[in-house]
Amino acid sequence: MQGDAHAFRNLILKHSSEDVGKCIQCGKCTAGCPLTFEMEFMPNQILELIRTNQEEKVLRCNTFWFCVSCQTCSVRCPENIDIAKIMNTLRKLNIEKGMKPSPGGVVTFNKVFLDSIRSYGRVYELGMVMKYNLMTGQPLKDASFGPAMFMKRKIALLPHRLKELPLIKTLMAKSRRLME
Amino acid sequence: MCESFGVNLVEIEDWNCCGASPAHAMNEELSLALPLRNLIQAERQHLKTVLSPCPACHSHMSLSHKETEKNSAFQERMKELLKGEYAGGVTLRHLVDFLYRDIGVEAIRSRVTRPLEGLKIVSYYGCLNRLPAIEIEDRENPVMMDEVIEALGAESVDWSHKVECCGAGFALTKTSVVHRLVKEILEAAKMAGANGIAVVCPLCQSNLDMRQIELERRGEGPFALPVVYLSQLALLAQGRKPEELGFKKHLVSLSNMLLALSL
Amino acid sequence: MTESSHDLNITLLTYTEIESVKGSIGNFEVTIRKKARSVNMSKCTGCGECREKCPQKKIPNEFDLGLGKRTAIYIPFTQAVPNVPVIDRENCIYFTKGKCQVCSKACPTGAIDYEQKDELITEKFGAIVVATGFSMFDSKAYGEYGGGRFKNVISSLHLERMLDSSGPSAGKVVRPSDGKEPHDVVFLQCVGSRDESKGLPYCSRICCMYTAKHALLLKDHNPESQSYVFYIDIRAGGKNYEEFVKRTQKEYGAIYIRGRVSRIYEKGDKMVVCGADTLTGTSVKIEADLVVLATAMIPNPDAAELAQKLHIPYDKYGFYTEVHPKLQPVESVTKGIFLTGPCSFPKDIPDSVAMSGAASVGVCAVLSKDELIVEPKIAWVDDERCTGCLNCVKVCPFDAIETREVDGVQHARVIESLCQGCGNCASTCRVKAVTVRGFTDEQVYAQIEASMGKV
Repeated sequence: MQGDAHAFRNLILKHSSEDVGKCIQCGKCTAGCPLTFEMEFMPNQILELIRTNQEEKVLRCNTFWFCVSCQTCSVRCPENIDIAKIMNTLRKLNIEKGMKPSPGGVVTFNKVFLDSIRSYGRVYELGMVMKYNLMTGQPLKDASFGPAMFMKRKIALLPHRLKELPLIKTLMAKSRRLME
Repeated sequence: MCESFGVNLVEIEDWNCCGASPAHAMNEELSLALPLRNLIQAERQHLKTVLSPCPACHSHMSLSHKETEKNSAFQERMKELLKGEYAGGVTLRHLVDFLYRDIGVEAIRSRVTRPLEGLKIVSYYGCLNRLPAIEIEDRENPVMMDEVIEALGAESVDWSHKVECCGAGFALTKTSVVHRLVKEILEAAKMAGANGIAVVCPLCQSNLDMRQIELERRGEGPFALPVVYLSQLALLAQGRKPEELGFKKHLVSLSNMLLALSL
Repeated sequence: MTESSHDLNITLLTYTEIESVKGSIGNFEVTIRKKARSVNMSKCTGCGECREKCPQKKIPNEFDLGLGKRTAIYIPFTQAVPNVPVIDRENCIYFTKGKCQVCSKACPTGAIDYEQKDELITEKFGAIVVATGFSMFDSKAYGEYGGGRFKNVISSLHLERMLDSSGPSAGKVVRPSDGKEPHDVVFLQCVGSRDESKGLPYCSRICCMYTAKHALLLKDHNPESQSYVFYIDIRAGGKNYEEFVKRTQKEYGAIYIRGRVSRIYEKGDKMVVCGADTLTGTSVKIEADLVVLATAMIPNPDAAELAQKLHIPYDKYGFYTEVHPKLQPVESVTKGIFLTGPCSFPKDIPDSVAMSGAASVGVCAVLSKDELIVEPKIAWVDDERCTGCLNCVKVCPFDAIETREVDGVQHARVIESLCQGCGNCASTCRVKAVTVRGFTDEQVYAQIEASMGKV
């Protein structure tokens, strides 16, 4: 905890514009979060860990990968801290620093989703779901729904390619993960 | 449905995916640039209002719109990357926002020819009410959908899980989470005495519909709660035939609901 | 109260409002509005026949926060002083419909006077003590706690009334929805207090202690009950306070959980309370029969209006400003006006009693002297320069500038006993006729030059 005691707190402040120093640890965020049953650290504990400069512990845990951005915490926080935004910043920091995300499934899904956009400009659901299932070793997941989805014309058999696809590809190659 | 209110809908040419949650989680510039391209396309077509059926799309487009307004460095960067500039002239609306605010409950009521009497609907907002992009008076107890449902002649039932999360993007990555959350929502709807759930988000519809079947297969429930879009209810109340409204695409059968309406 | 009403040196004027205040310390001229009770105080014996016979019995009782009912002719609570009723003209059958008059027929002394009007009296006073108290924050602002919609989510004051053996439920705590005794009762601390998002970042001081008291008394009155208290920090800094809180937990079985509650919803006839326990890092869900919210102490809704009449300053919340929060806590900035109790900031009974003693001595100090010694750093008007525009009169927050004729023109003149030396007048005057002694332009320039090393 020595050295620059405010380093991690300031890093989060820089990228999310949120200051964890305002937190009084009332726990209302944790009380309202629908995903606490999956999290290693509770939302209020994450804020405390940031405040006490424990970067490694925070970035290696699974809490922010289970955040579903429902904003319940942010809307009810008495100090008006946008906790959901902090969780989002932690996700990006984790990837930026090349750390192993846990659980991996969420990042795999995100990458597959974005790959679909890179290839077609839109999400080709069939291709995306199949690729995701294969990559996460569950090839037959939700397969029972497949025929019904086709019959009801909820998902398309073939992808649609955008006219300005090259622009999208360049955009995705050049865009910056974290803005100042 | 929009046609019935005199609104002409035009699809944005060559629209791209807004990036939704994945872009939001992985890359900040991308999550703002992708929706911005859609706004630029809309302006090229001289479209004044962009209506989104999805709260996430609406929210991300709003964020992009706001960012161009307050951050000129961002505008410059986007000009470079997207080879186009957004002039800020588009009004953004989510469907339910549009229905309530721009069309109005009275106009909706006036078009009703078959009041939905017999239907007890719970309004499920999900996380829509939390989005700063949508103006709501009371974020803990929103009434937009409820008032529209009442205007359609159905009974809008008060219940405890109006704004509880359905699990959203975890639909594929951590389905067990969705199961747990959806089960709570369905149980609350059942306890309130509803015979249908109204939604305004495609992901909510998908989660509450698809995973309801799965839960029943595992022995939970039974729930028998069809999950319908507000727009489908509106057209039903305007006298349209159920076959025309895509009811066959639903996984949970709507037969109970239609029975209650003697259809 | 009864003692003070009998003391020969005290005149108790009840059911009155301050209309206006003029003058300054030692010479206040106060106009008081004695509101019409519709009862002649000199004839009324307090027998209570009128209240017994009044047919209008369904009005929600304000003192019991709507938990009980009262009649149209009523006294606010059983120990009210004086024991003379008042007619609620908005709900009285005679005043609204022209019929009834049963109270007049029942009264043995003919004390009912339907024609009675408000009376204005003006009297001189040497000093004023402000002890106007506080109000409770309305938890409707929290939609996530039901926003006033759930019958079984009540405020601490509601519970206080129920615990009172002369209250609406004769001392038994019951659920407002069905009158049954609750088994599991959840208390929430800090509802409104310590909440930036509601504009009340301060601590209301008394709630931790009274909640402990409520949990203790609840167990006493309803022995089958179990209390849970959701808190962030327990503030028990007083004589025997900490020990009291511990006793409530040890001997009366109250379970204290550290964490705020995110939301409350109805499930059947229970209230589901979704909170957190930050000490173990878990979410906690409790199905309660009754939920009690410890709402924040806030100034009265008309606090600002009264302050304007008295010419005393107040802060952004509406609490009255004292000269110094530590060294002069009972004197308002306006000389001759003293503050006591929660009107200046949330405080408990021991502190209020102590402050009242201090304020009383302050009043004695004022009244025992013939002359007043004031700070010299106050404003004065140079008659040679004054053009009579009287802008300074308009901007003075203490009404400390009066006008008087000099050579046929109205000039400004500072009332030395009222002036606080704030300098508003000096900065407003366009011809520099008004200056504050000790802060003339020349003096300020000299300070600047000295600090820049240019002496």
